Amino acid sequence: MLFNHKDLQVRLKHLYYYFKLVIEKANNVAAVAAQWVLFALALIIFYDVVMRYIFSRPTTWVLEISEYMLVFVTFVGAVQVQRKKSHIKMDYFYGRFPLRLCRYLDIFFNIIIALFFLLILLTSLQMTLIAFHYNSISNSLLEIPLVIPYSIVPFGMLLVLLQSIIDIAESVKAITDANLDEKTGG
Amino acid sequence: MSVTFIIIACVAVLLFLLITGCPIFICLGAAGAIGIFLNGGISGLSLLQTTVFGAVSKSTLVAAPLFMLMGEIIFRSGIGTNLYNALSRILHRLPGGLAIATVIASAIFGAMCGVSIAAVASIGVIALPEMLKRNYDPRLAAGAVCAPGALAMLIPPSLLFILYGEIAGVSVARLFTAGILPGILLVLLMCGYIIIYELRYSKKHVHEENPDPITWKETAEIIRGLWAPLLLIVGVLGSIYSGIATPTESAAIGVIGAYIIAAAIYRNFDWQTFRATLSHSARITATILIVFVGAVIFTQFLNLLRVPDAFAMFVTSLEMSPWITMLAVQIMLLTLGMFVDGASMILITTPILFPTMKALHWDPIWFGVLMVTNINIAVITPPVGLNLYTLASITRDVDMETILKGTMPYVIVEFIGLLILIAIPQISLWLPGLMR
Repeated sequence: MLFNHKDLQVRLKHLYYYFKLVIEKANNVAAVAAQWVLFALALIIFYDVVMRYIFSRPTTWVLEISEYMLVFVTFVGAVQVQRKKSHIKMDYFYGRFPLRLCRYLDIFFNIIIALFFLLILLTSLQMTLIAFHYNSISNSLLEIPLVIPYSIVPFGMLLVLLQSIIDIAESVKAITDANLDEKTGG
Repeated sequence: MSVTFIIIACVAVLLFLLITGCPIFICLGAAGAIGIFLNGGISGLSLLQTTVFGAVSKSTLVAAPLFMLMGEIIFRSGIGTNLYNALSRILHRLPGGLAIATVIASAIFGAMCGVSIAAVASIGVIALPEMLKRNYDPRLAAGAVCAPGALAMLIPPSLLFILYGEIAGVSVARLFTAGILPGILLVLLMCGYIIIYELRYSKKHVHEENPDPITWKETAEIIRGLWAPLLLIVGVLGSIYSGIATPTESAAIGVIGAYIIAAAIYRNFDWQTFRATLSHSARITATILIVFVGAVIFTQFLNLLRVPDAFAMFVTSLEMSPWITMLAVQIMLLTLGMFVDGASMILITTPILFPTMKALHWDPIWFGVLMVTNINIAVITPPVGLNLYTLASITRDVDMETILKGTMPYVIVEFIGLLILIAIPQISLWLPGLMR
């Protein structure tokens, strides 16, 4: 055997720690990107309004690009929502459940969340690959290769999926820690 | 597998997840995805490819984050304080003048901001202590902060109207215009309630004169500080109403205008606040649009199995009077709204109710107004009244019980408003009817 059981555990812990660190960094970058895209979204639409009503020269690209930017703010911005646990939910009953049940529910929810993100990741990745394969372009004057806007969804979903895997690990850890506390009487 | 079984299974999954406290986008998305899978297998799920991307890449939906950003800027700029100060100076001689000033300030604030808790948080912080200092009944004061905050959802620009318009396929510009008169109606009803209350109990609570009242000169200064935000409201709403700009375009004008006003007039607006407006709006946008995506998946499942049509046929086959049906629908929405937030409620119920609405020849704009008015009541009704908790979280002067007791009369006032809007659809439909 290359290393014993304890050694492996330590190594896995290290690996998880680095994984978490990398995801955290990536998520920060994604969150900031989503914020600036939102600001740019306001700017380009304002620019379009000015060009149209003041200079009578409407732009051809703003409408289409703004839609893609909204996709970016939604799906890449979702990372921050997942990380800060600020999803909208009905927590009236949840708040009245015993703590133990809540912990198990958390694991359950986190698993469904990860599965759902995985599903969206796979389907949107399929669409992106098809667009890439057939060199599809957008049905507009811009003729943007659709692989660019389409890839926003799988990109965002990959980040959220990784974050939700961390969430599963953390919710499992919460239970084992609580069990450990009970055993040691802490 | 029979269609009925699939529907029952999916609704069961939806309700189970919803009640246990699972994030709402998953409740909708998972129930929808399971339904699509049971109906069409793995190949059925490939439907989701275009659904997810297409759900969000819509130019009308772009208005939502922009109006949220605009509201966020207004919220952080301190305009709310000035608005309240000016109005309380002008209205303080009326019975319950400060409470009325709070109601009107919240309504005007709502015309700049599309979410209901912003008004409660920014106006409540100054209005509540001021009213308590002047010996207002704490219940009246708490109610006057809590209830009118919700008007932001009805008075345009309103996030809920954008979501509803997107799902029901109704013009957002018309919905915005339709919300104006009902919003004013509710303001008048609330002010009426305050005046009646004050006249009845005026002996019990004699209001002290403000020990150091602001002079008219200072008031003039405050009003001078307000012309820019008021101009912004007129510009944004006016451009939508006159058809010059789409809601998305006027939202962008609103954002840039709000930034300029915040930076030029309200000096406390620094780089950090600027970044905060962006980070907060981006997160709220993603939070709400993710639920929107879940709702679109669920709607696709419902439409695949023609559930809404079946529901419409069932309702019409009951041959109840349309008024009874309307009342039943409103009570159902009100009950649901006691537990679920406004945006989610619109996203869950609109796709199911839409065909019924058409079968009964209800105008979708009118119905949208009723729905949002209904949500106005829901956010001040326990157990999950968002505004109640927002007020409780920003103040230590009044406790939850006082807030609840103070807000209850407004539930009745708003319900009366809802009944008036049901009885006289013209209040909602007259202004949009004038639009080109």
